[in-house]
Amino acid sequence: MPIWRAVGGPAESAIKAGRQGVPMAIAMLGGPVSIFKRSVMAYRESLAINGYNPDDFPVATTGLFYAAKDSQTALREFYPYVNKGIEIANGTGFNKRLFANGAHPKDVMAIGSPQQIIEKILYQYEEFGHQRYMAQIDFGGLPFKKVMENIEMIGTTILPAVKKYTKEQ
Amino acid sequence: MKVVTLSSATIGSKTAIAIQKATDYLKLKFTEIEVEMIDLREKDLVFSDGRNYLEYTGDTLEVASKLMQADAIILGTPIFQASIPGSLKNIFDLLPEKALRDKVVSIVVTAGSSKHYLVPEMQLKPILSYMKAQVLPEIVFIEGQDFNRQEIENIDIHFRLEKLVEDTVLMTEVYPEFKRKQEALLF
Repeated sequence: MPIWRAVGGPAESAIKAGRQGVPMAIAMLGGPVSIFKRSVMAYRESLAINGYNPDDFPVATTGLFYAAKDSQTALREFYPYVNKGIEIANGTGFNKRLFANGAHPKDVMAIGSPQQIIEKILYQYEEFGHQRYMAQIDFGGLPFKKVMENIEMIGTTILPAVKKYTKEQ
Repeated sequence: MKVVTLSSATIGSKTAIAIQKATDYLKLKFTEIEVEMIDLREKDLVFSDGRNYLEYTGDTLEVASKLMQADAIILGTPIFQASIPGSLKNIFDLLPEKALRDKVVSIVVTAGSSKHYLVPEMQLKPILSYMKAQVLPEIVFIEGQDFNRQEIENIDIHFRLEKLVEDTVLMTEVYPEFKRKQEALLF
């Protein structure tokens, strides 16, 4: 059974995954793609230094996901649940400015319209060259109806578009 | 508005006397404000071991939670060995990285010598900044000679403590408006 190493923001954690020669799943709560790219690059470099072939090891990314008709609606609808969920987990809420940055095309958070999310996933795919993406949708008490709507949008719009592009690679 | 006044010395009396004075003035002048004084001489806190603060128990959880729930903190510190006491650093270490975000923090220092005047500027303010506090620029620095028989004798210290309390309350009142306008620009 393959065991993946879960890593956080700092590259040191990714370097350890490379040293161990295990697949890496990177948690991306929020922030620019460029920062997380450093960890992905450091992981592959660490694999190579330690005698492994980076092409043999998959990378997974994980992060918050919420689709709505446009980015403003998505931010407004999803923020209260994310803030609450993080508050319950850590005792402090999710900074609203950091969350607002999440709508930017170069931020890791998959928040926006289905089309914007397709573009973000593909942009991250180009930057990271990763093999798996795990979306965190159900969080902080998000109503089941909203979770269903999101899964519907993934199935009908987002996934077919992403697959169409990634198949060509 | 919730204000916590914290006397962070575990021994001695001067910091507690100064913080008690600030607390009394706060209660007298601003009756609508919820005020609580924490005196670390009366608390039994464990050393920070890296847990989330919600996972501690007893006095440690109580003190950490009260600080986290406060809108403003009036922080009283002695100067020990030319620095803040370990008991205060431990409080900071118990709390999350950005624990003081959106909180107003003001500083009251008791010291044995005027030569320690820059200790809070060089050692305490950088920590508060790192933890994202809105720190009042003016601090109240009290020396040993300002005290007599367990009371603050120097009347100028009384005036300055009162001003510090007023500025803390005013800043805590207006800060939410700044925050509201800042967030209104977002989404």
